[in-house]
Amino acid sequence: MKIIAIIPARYNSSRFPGKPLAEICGKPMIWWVYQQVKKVSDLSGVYVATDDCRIMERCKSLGIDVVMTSEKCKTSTERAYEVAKSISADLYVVVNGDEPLIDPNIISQIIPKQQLQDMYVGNLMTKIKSAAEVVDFTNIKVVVDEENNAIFFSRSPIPYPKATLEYDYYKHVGVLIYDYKALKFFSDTEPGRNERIEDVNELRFIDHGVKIKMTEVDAHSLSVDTPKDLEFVKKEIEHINESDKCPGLYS
Amino acid sequence: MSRGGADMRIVAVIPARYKSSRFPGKPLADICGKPMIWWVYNSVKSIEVFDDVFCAIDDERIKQVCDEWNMKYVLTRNDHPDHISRVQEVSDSVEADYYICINGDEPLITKECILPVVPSEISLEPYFGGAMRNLTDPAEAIDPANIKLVVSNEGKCIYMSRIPVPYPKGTLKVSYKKYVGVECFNKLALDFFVNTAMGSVERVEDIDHLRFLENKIDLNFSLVESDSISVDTPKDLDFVIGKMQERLKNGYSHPENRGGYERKLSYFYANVIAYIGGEVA
Repeated sequence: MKIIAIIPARYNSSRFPGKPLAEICGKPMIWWVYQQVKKVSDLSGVYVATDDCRIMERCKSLGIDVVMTSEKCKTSTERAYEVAKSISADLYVVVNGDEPLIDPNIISQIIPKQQLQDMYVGNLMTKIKSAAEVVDFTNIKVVVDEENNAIFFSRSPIPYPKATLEYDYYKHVGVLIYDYKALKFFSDTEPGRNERIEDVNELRFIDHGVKIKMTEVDAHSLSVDTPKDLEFVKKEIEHINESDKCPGLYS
Repeated sequence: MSRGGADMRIVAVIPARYKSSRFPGKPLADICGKPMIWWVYNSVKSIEVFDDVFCAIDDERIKQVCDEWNMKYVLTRNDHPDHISRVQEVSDSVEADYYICINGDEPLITKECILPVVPSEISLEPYFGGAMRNLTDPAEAIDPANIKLVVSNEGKCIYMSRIPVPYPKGTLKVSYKKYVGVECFNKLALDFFVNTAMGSVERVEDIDHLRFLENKIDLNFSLVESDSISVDTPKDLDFVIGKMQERLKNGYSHPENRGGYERKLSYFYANVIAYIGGEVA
C-alpha cells in the first residue's frame, strides 16, 4: 500500500500571516513539522503543499519536497486533493502545518491495519483533560458510535452529561487520512448545512452520510494559532533539545 | 402526497404511566373538567388516518378512567424502562404497519403535529419518524429538558443533544430544532430497540433515540409548528389549563366535532410547514 503525507501550508492565516515561516530556533515552523512527519515509517513520501512562492523557496532551500497549489483552495482538504491529482497513492495522510511538536507515533496510528472500504476517511481524537478545554469552542468535540465512527463533531461540549458524569470527552486532532475518492468527494461537494453553521470541515462528510473512522491517541501537541502560542512552542523545543543533549540540532 | 395509504394499518398509541416521579397520577390530572389523557385521546381519535387508538397504561386507576370515558387501552407491564418498550409491548398484541406514539402528557397536541410523521409507504427496514419544531426562546434552547436536533440537508437527524447544537461559529443564522413528543415506529424498529443494548452515548445523554443513531438507523424528522408543551409539573398543568380555556373561549371546536374542511386545511398547513427547509439550505 502506497501512503504519502501532505502538509498543507497557506501563507495567509487570518490570525497570523506568514505562520508556516515563523522562526523556531533558527528554522521555519514548517521545517519542524516536516521533520516530525518524516519520522513516520510506512510513508512513501512527505510533501508540503503551499500557495506561496516564499514558502516554496524556503522549503526548497531546506531540502523539503514541496508542491505548489492554487490560492483558490478554501480548505486544507482541497489543497491535499490538488496534490493527490498529480501524485497517486492508496492513502493520503494530511497533517496540519501548525503543530511543530506533533508526535510521529501519533501520526502513524491513523494508518489502518485492515483492508478498507471505498471512500475512506480517518481522523484522530484525544481525551480532553481540562474543563476549560471542553468549553473552549476552538476545540472540536467528537461523539462516536460503538464502532468508533464519528456521529457528530461540535464546538459545543457534546454529549450533554444528563444521566451520568462518568464520561470522557474527546476532541478532534488535526491529522486525517483519506483515499483519493474521499478527497475528490470533499472537493466536489458543497459545504453542508451543519458544516456552515459549525465551521467544521469534517462535517461535510457527516452531513452527507460518509463515515469517518476515529482513532483514539494520547496527543499533547499544541497548534500555533497566535504569536503567543509560538513563544510557548519555542520554549518547549528548546527544553526538548536541552534534555536530549543535542544542541546542534537547531543551530 | 398521501399519508397513510388505504392499504396500510396505522395505530396510534398513547403511553400513560401512573407513576411520574415529579407528578404522580399525571394522566388523570383535571383539565377543564376532563382528565388530561382524555384530551390527548380525543385529539388523536379525530384524525381519520388512524385505524385504531389505544392508551398504553400500567395502572388500575388509569384503567378505570379509560373505562369510564370510553377510551380503548392495552394494559402493559409496569416495569418498562422507557415508553418505547411500552409501545413495543403493545405491538406484540396489536398488529399494524406503523405505530404512531403520542405522549400522554401533551394535551395541547393537535393533528398538525401528528400527521406529518405518518409515512406514505411501508418500510421493510426498521423505521423511525419524529416531529420537531423551531426553538425561539433562548432559555428554551439552553434548558437540558429540551432535546436539540441536528438535521442534515435531507432532513435526517444526525445528532440529538441536551446541549445546544450545532454551535454557531460559522453563522448566527441558525434556528435551533427541538424534539416534539410525536413518533412513528414500525414493528421492526420497536423490536430492534428492545433487543439492543443501550449505547454509550445514549447512556450519557439519557436520550432513548440515540440507540437508533448509534446503530446506524435513520431518524426521519418533520418540522411542525406547535405550542404544545409536555406537562411535567403542576406548574406546567396550570399553563395548559390556561391555554385550553383560551382555546375553548375562542371557539376551538371539540376534537370530536371538527369538520372536514378544517381538517383538510390543517392537514395542508402541516405539510407546508414540513416542507419549509432550513434557513441554511
